[in-house]
Amino acid sequence: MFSIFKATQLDLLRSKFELFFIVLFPSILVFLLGTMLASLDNADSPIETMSIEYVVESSEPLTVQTVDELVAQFDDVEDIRLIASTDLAGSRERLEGGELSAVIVFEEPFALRIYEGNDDVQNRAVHMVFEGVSRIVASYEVVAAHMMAQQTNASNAGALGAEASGAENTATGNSPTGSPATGSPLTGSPTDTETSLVGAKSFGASSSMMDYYAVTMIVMIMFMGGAGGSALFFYEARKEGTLRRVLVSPHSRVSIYLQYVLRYIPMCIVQVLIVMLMSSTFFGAHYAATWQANALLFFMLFAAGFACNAVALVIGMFLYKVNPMPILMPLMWVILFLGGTFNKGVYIEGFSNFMPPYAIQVAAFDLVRFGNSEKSIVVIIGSCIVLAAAMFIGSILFNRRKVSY
Amino acid sequence: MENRTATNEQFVTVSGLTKRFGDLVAVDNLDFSVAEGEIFGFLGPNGAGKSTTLNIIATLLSLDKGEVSVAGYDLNKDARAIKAIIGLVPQEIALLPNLTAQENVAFFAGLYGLKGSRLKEAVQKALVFVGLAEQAKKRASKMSGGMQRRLNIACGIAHDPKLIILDEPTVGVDAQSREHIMEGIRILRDRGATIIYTSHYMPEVQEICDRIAIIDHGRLVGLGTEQELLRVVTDVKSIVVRFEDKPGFDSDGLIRRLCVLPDVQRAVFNEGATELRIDVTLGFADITPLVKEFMALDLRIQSLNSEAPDLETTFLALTGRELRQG
Repeated sequence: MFSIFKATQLDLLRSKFELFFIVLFPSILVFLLGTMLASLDNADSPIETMSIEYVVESSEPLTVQTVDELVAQFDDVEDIRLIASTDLAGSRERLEGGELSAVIVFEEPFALRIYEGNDDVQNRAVHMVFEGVSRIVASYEVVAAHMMAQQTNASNAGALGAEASGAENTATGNSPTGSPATGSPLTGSPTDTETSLVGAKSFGASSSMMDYYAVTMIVMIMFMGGAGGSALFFYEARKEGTLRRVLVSPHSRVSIYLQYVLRYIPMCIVQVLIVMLMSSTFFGAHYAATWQANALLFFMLFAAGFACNAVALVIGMFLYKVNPMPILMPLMWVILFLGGTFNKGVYIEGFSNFMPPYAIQVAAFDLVRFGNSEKSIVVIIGSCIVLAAAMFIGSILFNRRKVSY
Repeated sequence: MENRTATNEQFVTVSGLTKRFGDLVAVDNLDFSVAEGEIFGFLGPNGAGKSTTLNIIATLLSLDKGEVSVAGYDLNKDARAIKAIIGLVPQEIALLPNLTAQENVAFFAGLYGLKGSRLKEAVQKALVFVGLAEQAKKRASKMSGGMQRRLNIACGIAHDPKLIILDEPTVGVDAQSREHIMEGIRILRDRGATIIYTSHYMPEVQEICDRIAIIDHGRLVGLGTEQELLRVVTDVKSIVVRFEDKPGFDSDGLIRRLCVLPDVQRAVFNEGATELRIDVTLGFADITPLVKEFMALDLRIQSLNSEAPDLETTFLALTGRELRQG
């Protein structure tokens, strides 16, 4: 009953070309992206110890106090040493001589001036840190203005303190005097990597680029490789003549069609497994914390990939006379691009969120980063519905369409 | 398999067959029949409707109008029964390239319900038949073109079909493999199979087919034995000129110049360009212009004879195109 399935699997297992696409292509992709992203992460990671001299040019007591408090925050930070200086010219000389990473000047009333050193990575880190500081300082400006207003209104000192405290949090959400638990940008996360300092990748301080791209790589493979290959099936089969020969046999067309759909199961399993295992083993990609969540993630990606293949096979049924790749590949590329697969920065409200890759990626990240399985289950159910519909419609069409493949 | 020869019983009957693709009438009210145990040549230029007709008989395409029956089964009602007795050898090398010869034959024969020892026996028999028993464990992709062609045939006949459709089975094979295939087809016929055979190589068709149908623009334009078809053309005769071997002369240029001479319909060289066949109208009387052209190229004539037109001439007369042009 499964003779077509078995024979095509055997043929596939022995085919260097097919194996390239099923096994080597994802592996190469993981290694290429992994190496590329690792070098990006390298630029992120070893910032080394930074020696920064600071000069306070303000005589404003509030500014001086603010700077003192800020500097005190760095006492617990191993990799950043802040050294007070009163000689800006001397500091700049030492900076040019490579002894320092940067020189910061706290101006009156709350402005910052940064003199950069020669190390680009450290310069980036300094900017990220002190842009945060700048924001905090700016919050003091709000507080000060508030205090001034209170003083003008002759309010009592106790009430002022209480309100000022409330205003600090309201203005920035970060208190410079708060403990690490309050979420200070300086002490709330490890400061030995730029990633953690910046915290801009939206997946938490411990995430790397690989965590994002490991998932999107699977999505890319399932849409471009898997779906493209399935859409090509009828075109190739027509050229080869194998399908014609199978169709002449007394097997029902529905059975033949379903066996051709089923042959994508091992392919999808292998591709998802390869990317997941290789990205985590060799490039330290983080997936979910529990094996159950990882199993769910795997099943979701497999179900989506299989559904994708089944839909592409139906499309390929109509494009059997011409190579469907020039039509499908740009379309797939646009869908993936708008779905944020190539760059998470790409998002168009009302459009991207309707792209299947986007839904799959969001569900995957929700599961991996936050342990929420609701969206993954929705994707699995959706994929199963799409798969069932594609198999049903495909087999009916295949049965009815008497075309010469 | 029992040894049989062609009988008068009609194994395949096609009547009033019509197939349209949109506005294009691919097959137009086609009628013919194939006797049991017959090798039936089915010829036509490309786009004549030949493949469409064969695909309909092979149950791959539905028909719009008319009737087709195979071994008494109506195509519209008993397609599955027809499938069970058909063996298709497509023009393409329709094999799973990474399976061995044995696995390929077993796969395709297995689709017809053969299992276990019956399947093994059928596979072995088919491989022996096409001369590939020694290559049973070799992957199809590692075989030469000729061997692949033979394996292609083995896959189509292993289940012992009663009707075998051979669609240009000798394309791209060497003379030795071609001869092997030709001999195999005769043996299949002798064992009782009915064979529908298409080819772009006229000598093959002449050599092997009991009867030949020629179709063009979806219509039957000629049907009969080789001799019957040759009699269709009555207004053409052939002049066959044999030359001494002269390598490197411009044979294409000569053909072009001959074809513009009055009363010359066609001129064609054999493979070594030592024999030239010129089809001329019955009114052709003066060979001087021909001889002048030969002398201009310093070609030395060995012999010059007038012959009856061949099947290629008939095909040209009926379709306006040479078979090899397609």
